Amino acid sequence: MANGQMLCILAPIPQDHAQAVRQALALGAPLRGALDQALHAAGIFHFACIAVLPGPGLKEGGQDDPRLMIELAVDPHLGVAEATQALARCALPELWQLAAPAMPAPVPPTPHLETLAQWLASRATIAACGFVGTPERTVRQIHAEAALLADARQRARQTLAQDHLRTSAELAASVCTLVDQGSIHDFARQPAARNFWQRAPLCIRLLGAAIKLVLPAVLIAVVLLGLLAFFGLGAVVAGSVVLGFEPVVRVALGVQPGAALWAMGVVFAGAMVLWISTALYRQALLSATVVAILLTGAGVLAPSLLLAFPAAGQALLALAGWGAAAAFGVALLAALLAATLALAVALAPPFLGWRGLAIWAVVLFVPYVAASHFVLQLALDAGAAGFGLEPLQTLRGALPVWGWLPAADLVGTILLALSLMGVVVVMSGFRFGRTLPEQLLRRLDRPRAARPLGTALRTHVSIEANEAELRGQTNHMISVTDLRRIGPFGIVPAALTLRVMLWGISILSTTVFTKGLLGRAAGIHFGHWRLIDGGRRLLFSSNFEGSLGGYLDEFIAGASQGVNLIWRWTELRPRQAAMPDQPGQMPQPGVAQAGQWPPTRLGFLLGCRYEQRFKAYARASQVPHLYRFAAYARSNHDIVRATRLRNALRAKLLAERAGARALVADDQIMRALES
Amino acid sequence: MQAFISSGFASLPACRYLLLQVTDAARARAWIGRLLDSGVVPNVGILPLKRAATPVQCAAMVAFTFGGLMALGLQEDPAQPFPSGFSGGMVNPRRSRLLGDDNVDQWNWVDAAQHDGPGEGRAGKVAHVLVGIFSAEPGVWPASVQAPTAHGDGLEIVREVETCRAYLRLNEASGETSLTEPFGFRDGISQPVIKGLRAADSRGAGAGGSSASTADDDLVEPGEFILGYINEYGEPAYCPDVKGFAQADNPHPFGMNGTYLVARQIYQDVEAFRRFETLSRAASPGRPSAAEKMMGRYKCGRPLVESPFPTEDLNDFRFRQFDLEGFQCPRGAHVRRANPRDLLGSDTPSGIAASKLHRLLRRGRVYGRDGAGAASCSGPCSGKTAPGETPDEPHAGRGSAGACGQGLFFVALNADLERQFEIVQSRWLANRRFNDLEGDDDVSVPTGQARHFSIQGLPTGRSLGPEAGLQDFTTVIGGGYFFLPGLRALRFIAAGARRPAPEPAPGPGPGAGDPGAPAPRASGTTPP
Repeated sequence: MANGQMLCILAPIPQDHAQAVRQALALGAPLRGALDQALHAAGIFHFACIAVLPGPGLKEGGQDDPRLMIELAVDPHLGVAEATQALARCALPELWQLAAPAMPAPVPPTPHLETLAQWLASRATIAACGFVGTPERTVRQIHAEAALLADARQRARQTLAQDHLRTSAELAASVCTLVDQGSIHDFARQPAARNFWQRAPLCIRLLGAAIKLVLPAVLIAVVLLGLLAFFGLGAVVAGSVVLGFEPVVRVALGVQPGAALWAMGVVFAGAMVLWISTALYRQALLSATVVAILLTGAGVLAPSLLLAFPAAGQALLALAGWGAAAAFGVALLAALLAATLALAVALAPPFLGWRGLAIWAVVLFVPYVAASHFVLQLALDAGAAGFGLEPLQTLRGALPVWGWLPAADLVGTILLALSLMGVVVVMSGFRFGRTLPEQLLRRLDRPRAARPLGTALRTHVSIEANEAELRGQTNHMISVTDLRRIGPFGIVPAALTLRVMLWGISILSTTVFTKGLLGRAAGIHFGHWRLIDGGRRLLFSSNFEGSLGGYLDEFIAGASQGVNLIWRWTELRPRQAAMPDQPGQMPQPGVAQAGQWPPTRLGFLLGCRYEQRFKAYARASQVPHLYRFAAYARSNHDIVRATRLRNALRAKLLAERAGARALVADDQIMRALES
Repeated sequence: MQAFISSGFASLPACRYLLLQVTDAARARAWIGRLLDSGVVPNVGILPLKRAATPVQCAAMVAFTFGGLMALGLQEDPAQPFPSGFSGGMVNPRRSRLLGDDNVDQWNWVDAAQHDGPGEGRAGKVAHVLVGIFSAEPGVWPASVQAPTAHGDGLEIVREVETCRAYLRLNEASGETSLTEPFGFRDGISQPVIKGLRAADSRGAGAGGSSASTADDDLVEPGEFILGYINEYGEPAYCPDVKGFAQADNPHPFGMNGTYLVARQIYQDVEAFRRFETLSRAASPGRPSAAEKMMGRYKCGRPLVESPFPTEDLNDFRFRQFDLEGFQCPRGAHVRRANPRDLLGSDTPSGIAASKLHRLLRRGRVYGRDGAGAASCSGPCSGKTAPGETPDEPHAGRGSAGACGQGLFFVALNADLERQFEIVQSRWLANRRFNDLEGDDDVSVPTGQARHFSIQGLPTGRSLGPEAGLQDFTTVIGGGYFFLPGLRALRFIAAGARRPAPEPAPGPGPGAGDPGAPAPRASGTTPP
C-alpha cells in the first residue's frame, strides 16, 4: 500500500538541541552535503526532509518540547524496518549527530548502528493516508527510465539529422535498437512493475474497495451492536427491579437470537470502550483501568445474573438481538441509499439509456423490498413489545384496501416507489439536465460577498526562503494544525473522525484511483497525512510541483470538498515557535481569523473556497524545513512519459518479433521523444 | 479609480515614465498634489479619451512602491496590512530567485533595497514613485507642473524612461491602436475584459462586442484587477489599509479602487533576434517561421492555431480544444505560456476558469534609447510623424537604424501579485517544464544558459538549440512592484501633511525623521 512509502520519524528534542540541529543543517554546512551523498548512495529514497516542528502546546505535561521530524519517501514495498535500517546504515554519523539527544538514555557515546536503527524504527510511522503521484516506481527505475528517454531522444535527433523524411515506424525502429540485449537499457525489455490494483479491471477494483471498506464496517457495526446489547442488559435488569420480572420478560416473546451474538457483543463492547477511551485520553493507565472494570463487570456480573435468573437471561438476549437487528436494518437501508447514489454518480451518462433505467429498477427492487420488510418487521415487533401483540394483529387485519397485501408490503411499496422516484429524478438529471445539479452545487459552493474585507496574504520569511531554495525542483510543504476539541455532532472525537476518514480515503486511492490523480491536482509526488502527538495534531506534508500559491489554487479548484472534509476538523491554536526565526504564535496579529478554518456548508462545501482565508490558514499552519533531499528533479509528467516510452518500446519489440505493425506504440514513442 | 486601470491611453502616443525617489516627504507630497490639481490624473469615467467633450491632451498615472508609501509618511494598519509579496518588493532575494531574476544587482532601478540587512550600494537605484505622463505630443507637461527636482520637490529622478511612439499604430478604420514590440511582433492582443467596466481600448470595443464563441473566455470579474471588488473566487479582493484613512463619510479602506502594478524594463536584443531569424528561415513561404512558432503568433498578430478554420478575430481560438498536441502552436510558445486559455484544469470549461485566476492587464510600451529620449531617435518617433502615417510594415528592417526601440517597458495590473503576475512569470513563462514539456525556454525569459525550444510535429517534431542561433534575446534591467491607488487614496497621500486630524501624531510621521526639513507648506500650488 502506498502509505508505507511515506515514513515519518518524530521525536521530542530539548529546546537547545533544536538550535543545534538548525546550525548543523544551515545552508552550506558540511552535514548537508554529507546527507545528500548518503541518501543518494542509498538509492531508495525519493525525497527526504528534516524539520523541527513546534511543540504541541501541552501545558500540564511539560512535554512541549519541539519535535524533530525526519520525513522520507521511500521505494515501494520496503517496510518500516528495512527503510529505517537502510537510513541508519547510509547516514549513521550524520543522523547520530542530529538524533542522539532525542534518544532515551543510555546513549552510546559513539555512533552505534543498531541503536540508531532501532530508535528510528521505534519512532517511525507510516502515513495514515498517503498519495503517490507516480506509484510503484523505485528511484532506480526512475533514473534508468530517464536515461533511456534521454538516449532515445538523442538517437531520434541523430536519425532525423541524417534523413528528414523518416516515418514514425522507421524512427521508432531505430530507437528500439537502444534496448537490445546486453545494452545498458535492456531492462526495458521487461514491462514496468505495476501492482495488482493497477492491473486489475475497474470492476475488480471496485469490488476490492467494497470488501476492504465493508468488512471493517461490518466489524465496527458488530462492535456497536455489542455495545447496544451491553446497555440492553442494564436496561432489562433495571426494568426488572422497577417493574417486576413479568412485564419485562414478556418482551422476549417471539424473538430468539443466539447466545453467541450476545457473548460477542460483550467482548466487542469491551474492545470498543478500550478504543474510544484510548483515543480520548491517550493515557494507558486510565484506559486500562476503565476497560478492566468494564470487562470484569460484564464478564462476572452478566453470567452470574444469567445463572441466577434464566428468564432474565432470555429477556436480555432478546433485547440485545433487537438492538442488533434494528441497527443492522438501519445500516442496511443507509448502505443501500449510499450505494444507489454512488452508483448513479459513478455511471457516466452514455450508459444510462432507458434500458439502463429499467435494469436499475429491477436491481433495486429486490433489496428494497427485502429491507422494507425487515424494517417493518422490526417495527411490528417493537410495537408488540410496547403494546402487546393483539393490537398489532388487529392493525394488520384492519387495512381493507390493501387486504391482500400484508402491511409490510404497503410500507415496502411506498419505500420502493419513493426510491424509484429518486432514481428517476437523479437519472433524468444526468440524462436531460446534467448541468442542473452541478449548477446548484456550484451556487451552494460559491462564497457570498458578505464581508467587505478579505484577509491579507502574509508569508513568513522562512517559508519564502524555503520556496526560493527549491526553485526548479520539486517543492515541499509541511503543515501542522491542531485538531479541534469537538468533532462531528459534538460527541464524536475529531481524532476518531479523521482516522476513519483517512483510512477510507487511503483504501479508495489504493484500489480504485490507481492512476494517481488527487482530484485534479496532477503535480503531487508524495503527499501524506498523519495524526501526531497522540491524535492532538494533524501533520500534512507534500512534495509537489510549482509554487505553493498555485498548489493551493489547485486545491480550491480540484479537491475542495476533500480538503474541507479533513481540515474542517482542525484549527490553529497559538503555539510557540520551535526557534526564533520560524513562524509561531498563530494566528498572526493582523491576519483576521487565520486561526479558524473558513466556514463550511453541509460539511464539505465552501470552506477552502474562501480563497483568502484558506490561503491565510494554510500559510499560517506551515513549518519550514531545515534540510531537503530530492533524488531527482523530474516532474510527474517526465516520469510517466519515460515509463510510457519504455513500455511502448517493449510493445514495438514484441510486434516486430511477431512481424506485425505497432501503430500505437510508434505514436507513443514519437510523442515521448518530441519535447 | 485611476483611468489607467481601464485604458493604456493608447490615443496619447507620447509617453514617458519617471521613476522617482522620495527625499523629502512633504515636498514630494506637494508635487503630487500639484499633479493632481492640474487634473491630468483622470478618473475612469472620462473614457474613452478621444470621444470626450474636449479631447484630452495629457494624462498621467501615479503609483508607489511599498517603500514609497512609507517614505511619504503612511503607516500600515496592522489589522489590514499589505500582502507580504508587495511589501517585500520584487527584488528581495527570495522573490527575485522565485521569479528567476538572477541579475538584480545589475538592474538600473529597483523597488526596494535588495538585501534585508544594511550595507548595500543600491540606495540610489531604489524607486519610490512611478509616474507615467501620456500626451499627444512629446515633451508636454501638464499646466502648472514641472518635472520634479530633488531639491525643490523632494523627488529625485532615479530613471526617466522615454517610450518610442513609432511602435504604436492607429488603425483609422476601427479607431484601435496597436502596439508592436521591437522584435516586430504585434503585442498586447489578448487582454482580459473587466466585467462591468467599459472596455475602452480592448477587444470588441470597436466592433461593438465580439461575437466569437470564445468571447467570454476573456471576461473577468473586476476584483481580479481592482481591489475591493468581487474577484473570480466570488470574494471581494483584499484591500490593505493605512492609519488615518478611514473617515466617517468614507468607510472604505485605503486600497479600495486601487490595484497593484508590475513594472519591468526588459531590454530586447534585436540584432541577436534578427540573426536567429536569418539562421532559421521558414521551410516554405506561407508557413510560420521558427520565430513565429516561438512566439505563437504571426508577426501581424494572427494566431497560429487555425483549426478548425482561421478567423478574423485574433483571439478566437483555444489550445486544448483545437491544438492540444501543439502541432500548430508549439506547446512552449510564448502566447501559450502567457495565456494558456483552456489548457489548465481537466477540461475546457475548468481550464478557462483556472486561467481567469491568473490574468494580467498589460499596459506596456516600447521604450527608447536611454536618457536621450525622443531627441536622439532618427526614426518616426522624433515627433515629426503622426502615428497614423506609418506604413503598413513599418518595422520590417529595424534593428540597426530607424526607430529607437530598445525593449519593452512592461506594465501589468493585477489585484493579487502572487496569484497573478508571479504565477504567470515563474510558473508559466520561466518554467522549463510548462505544459508537460521537459526543458523548453520561453522566448521572452532570459535564462543565462543554453536554450532549447521544441516544435511539435510529425513524426516527432524538431528541437531548436544554441546551434540554431537560440540565445537570450532579452535582459531585464529594472523592475518593481507598485501600488496604483484610487484617486481618493491618491489625494490622501498628497494631502498627508495638510490633513488636520492625523497630523499631530509623533513618531515617524511625515517630515519627522528630518529635523532640517521646512515646515509643511499650507498649499502645494505655488511652484518652487
